[in-house]
Amino acid sequence: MAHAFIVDYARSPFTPAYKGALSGVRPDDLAAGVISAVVGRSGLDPATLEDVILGCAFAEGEQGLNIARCASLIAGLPLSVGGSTVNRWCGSSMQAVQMAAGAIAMGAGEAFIAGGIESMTKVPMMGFNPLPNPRWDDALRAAFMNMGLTAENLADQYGISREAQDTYAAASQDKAAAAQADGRLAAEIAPVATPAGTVDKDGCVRGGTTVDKLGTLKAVFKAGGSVTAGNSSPLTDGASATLIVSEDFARRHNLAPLARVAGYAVSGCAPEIMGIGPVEATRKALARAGITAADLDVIEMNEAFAVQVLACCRDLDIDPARLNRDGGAIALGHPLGATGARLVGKAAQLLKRDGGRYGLATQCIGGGQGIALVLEAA
Amino acid sequence: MGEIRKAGVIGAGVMGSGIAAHLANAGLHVVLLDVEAATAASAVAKQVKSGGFMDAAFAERVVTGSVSDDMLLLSDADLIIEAVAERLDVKQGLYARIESVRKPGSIVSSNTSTIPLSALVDGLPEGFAADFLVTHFFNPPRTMPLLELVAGPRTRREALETIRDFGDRDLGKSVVVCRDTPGFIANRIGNYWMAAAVNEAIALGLDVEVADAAISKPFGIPKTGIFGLMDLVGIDLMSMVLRSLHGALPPSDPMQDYPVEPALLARMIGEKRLGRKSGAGFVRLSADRKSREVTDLVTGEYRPQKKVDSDALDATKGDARALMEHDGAAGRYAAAVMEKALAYAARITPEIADGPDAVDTAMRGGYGWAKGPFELIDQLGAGWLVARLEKRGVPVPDFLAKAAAAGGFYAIENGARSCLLPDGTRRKVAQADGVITLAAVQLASKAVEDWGAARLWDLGDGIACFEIRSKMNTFGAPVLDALEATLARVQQGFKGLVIGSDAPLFSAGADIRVFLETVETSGPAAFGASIDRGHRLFKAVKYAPFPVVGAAAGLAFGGGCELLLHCRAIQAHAELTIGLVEPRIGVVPGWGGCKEMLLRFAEGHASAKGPVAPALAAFGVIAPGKVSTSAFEARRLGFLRPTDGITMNRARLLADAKAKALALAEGYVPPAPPSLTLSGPSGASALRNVLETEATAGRLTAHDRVVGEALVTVLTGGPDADPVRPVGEDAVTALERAAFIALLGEPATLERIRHMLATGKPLRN
Repeated sequence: MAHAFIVDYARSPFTPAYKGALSGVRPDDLAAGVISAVVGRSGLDPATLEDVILGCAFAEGEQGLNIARCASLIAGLPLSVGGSTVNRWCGSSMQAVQMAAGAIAMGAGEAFIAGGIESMTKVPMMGFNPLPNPRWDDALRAAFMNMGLTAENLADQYGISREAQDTYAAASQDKAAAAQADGRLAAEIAPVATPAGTVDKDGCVRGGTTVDKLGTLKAVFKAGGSVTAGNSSPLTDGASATLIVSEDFARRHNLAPLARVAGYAVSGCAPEIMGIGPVEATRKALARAGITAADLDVIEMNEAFAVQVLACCRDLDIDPARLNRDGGAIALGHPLGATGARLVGKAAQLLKRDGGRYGLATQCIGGGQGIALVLEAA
Repeated sequence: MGEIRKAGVIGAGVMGSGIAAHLANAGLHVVLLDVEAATAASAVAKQVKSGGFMDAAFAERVVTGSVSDDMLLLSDADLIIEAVAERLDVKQGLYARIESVRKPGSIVSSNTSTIPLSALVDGLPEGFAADFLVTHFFNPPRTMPLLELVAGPRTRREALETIRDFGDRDLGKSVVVCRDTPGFIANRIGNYWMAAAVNEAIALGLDVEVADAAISKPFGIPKTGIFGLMDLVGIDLMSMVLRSLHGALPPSDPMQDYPVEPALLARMIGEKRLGRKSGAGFVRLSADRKSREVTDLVTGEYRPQKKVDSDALDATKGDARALMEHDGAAGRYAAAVMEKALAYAARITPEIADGPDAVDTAMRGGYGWAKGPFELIDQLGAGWLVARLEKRGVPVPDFLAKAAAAGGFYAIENGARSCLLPDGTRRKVAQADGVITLAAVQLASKAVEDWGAARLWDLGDGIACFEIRSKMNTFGAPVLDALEATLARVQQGFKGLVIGSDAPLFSAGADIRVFLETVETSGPAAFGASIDRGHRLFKAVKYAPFPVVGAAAGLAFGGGCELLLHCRAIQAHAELTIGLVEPRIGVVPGWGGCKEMLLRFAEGHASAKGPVAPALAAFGVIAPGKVSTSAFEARRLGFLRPTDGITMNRARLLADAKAKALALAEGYVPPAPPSLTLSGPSGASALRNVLETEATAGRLTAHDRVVGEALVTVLTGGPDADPVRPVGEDAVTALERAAFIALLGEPATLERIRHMLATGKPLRN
């Protein structure tokens, strides 16, 4: 079985939906930009690529028409390169990475672009035309569609306080603001040209956020609850892309990979506590990689909600010092379809930048799933 | 006449930024500069918060910058308004810089309230003076109707006419051209009135509460009265303006009779009790912020606010003349203040304005008086006032004496209002071209039909106007009867119909007292007939063989909103408060409002997004009873179609609505009945998710959920609806009817209705 390697990763700046600097940019243009960036700096002949696989949670409207194919054409990739859009909601672009790595393993191609896109400005969460099955009861429908409520459920089940959530959120903001200030995010950001000028910085980060300030926000999902806009990830616009190749391909083309895909898994859980999804998925992926959580040097776990990260870390016994070093989605933003590839790409970059052998990228998924991918430094 | 498309405002204080916001409301691109760019930017943010913009998105029309770096942004401005500190040297220095960047033919104006135009342009080049005038706005510029203009002898006539027209049509202002005299018109009279009111109250040792009550409602003056107004404007600012007027006016002017800063005001300014802006003025909140405290005019100390205690006010029941004749403290106070203020207006009008109508317009628009001073004098009796002044020893102004001899300042001549001029001649009351008011139509003609609760007027050119005259313009049976008769009558001899009037509101909707009476006497099902009648009648409006145009102004709630939704077109005043507020009283819109909102969203962009999108959009507007704060917001909420018109000047609304009706009448074809795609049970599930999400978040009461559930059924078509089988509009109105009657059977709905009738406020049960 051929091994798959992450060679490179780029993303657009992540900016707030509706008000952010990228809110006017079409999602297919945004995705094309990150594809061009990754392909361009690889020096590869783009005709050597097999496929472009993009995750997108709500692939309709401007994100419709098989946006992976659209973005591939807009990016100017040769007609011979394929394009496929995949949907596993928040896990979509990690799924794209898994599919690319899986294809390599089964000999169905050697070089792939795997990434994701979500303009939460252009297509609202749950899409334009949600038509859930009327036979579902209120609780199941809410578990599927009201993510904030699932976070509240987790806070209740795990007894995680408002203060713990706010403390976590403030730390995420601090880490992201420091990384932004030190230029540590520049390595992953591909600037985007807009009519109003070039956008090269993340727009969601709120440096100087304090626990006290976060404490003044109202719970938005449940009366008397603890989940607020401050300890949740914001609605975000953004795109991400990774270049994934086989070992042999890397050698032939003189590519210097960042990391090898060492294990992956998906798992299901109860929809009403979807935020706990990473636990089982991670356990399975670690087992398949033949390691334990203690072996992990770098952990990128999506911060859909602070409470959900805290619960997962408790169950997985994760060392906070290794978690989301440059901040997470609470600060950076969570463009649903684009997040998974960011986590994988970031973990691979960190293994290279900071050293270490094993990395983990994992996230929870609405509807009750988790997805995880283990990397080994190349 | 020149066109004003881009404007610059220099000075981002409260006035400058408010003017910039209102220019943006008028659709202009605006540049707002201050010494620091950050000041201008934060002033725009403040305007967004304080409601200076009619739609928050209009803030994007304002580009901010600094005077030092960004003057070139003004180089393509058609109008540049200076609104900086009231210092001649600062203003003139700025004019030199404006002159170096502005384009030829652009107009420059100052928002000064105290410096004469002659001083502002003194020594400046001819070309600048020719393009220069004073544009004096009132605070807040969005809502205060008055715009005073002052042109100098060197000002181009065309520049004045351009700004007069722009101020009237684009900014929606009552434009009054003033002479270049200190304080112009409104502030000259207003400040005298305020000085008199403050000093007389202090002299009488009156309670602030009594003074404010005496000087407001009986005279049609806003309920802030005098001390409330001082707190609103700022006590230090009032003092500054009065000082400036004292300096500019001759010693013989009665303004000089009152000190600029009576001891109490000097003390309050010293203690930083400046009014609302400093958190304490004549009134402040108590330490626990639960009650109010009021300054005692004798001791200067705060004491708890009292109920108004006045025999004079109780006995005279809002009759101005009776109050002034009452010998109680409030009566003596009202007489002293108003007699002097009205005499002052009559005394100075020959000097400051070209007629009493200009002065009355200015005081209505700038101080919110229901009647200007001359209209008030006519109400009180000019002869009566002369006698009162003689008794008081106040010299009787010549102009007032002439009016007393003529029987008043205003008269009706040949079907139009005329006014007396200081030279004793008369002329027609000035009215801008193309303005239609029913008041003027009534002077010139008889109603086509008069049903008491409503009247039908002939606006000329084949357009009729249906005027509702019930309390709050609500729809009871008499109004519905009249509307039905109107639809028949208009077909005989008219081409189109406007529904609207001069009233401050369009309609507060159905008469909810009738809901209650019907349910209590005959049960909820008995209300079905009324629902059917509304459906039938509003459908008749919609499919009439002539165009019906709704002239929407002020407030249009519930049934009033639903009538507008059925009109072929709406012409709305920019300040429109419209909403389907039925859920607030525990029902759903029952006269086709649900159906029309579904249709609007299905016609608009929502339709492209699948069968449930229009229902989701309509649910988002109706369930929380969303209400617009302007016509622009009403357009965004879906009440107005993109093709519906918005009129900035309330006085032009009927004329614009008539023009719209005339334009539609040419080869008019009524709309074809639509078919609706209803999303059915799957769509209901999506809407229910919204409802449950809101409920879980604690934003809904128990009965909100019941009403919301009923609305879900109406908007998605019930259990049998299927998106692949479109239905006619009657299918939705049948669901409205069923939901309405079912909700009327809910005790919680009746509690809401009773509470609304008793308190005017919604009950959250």
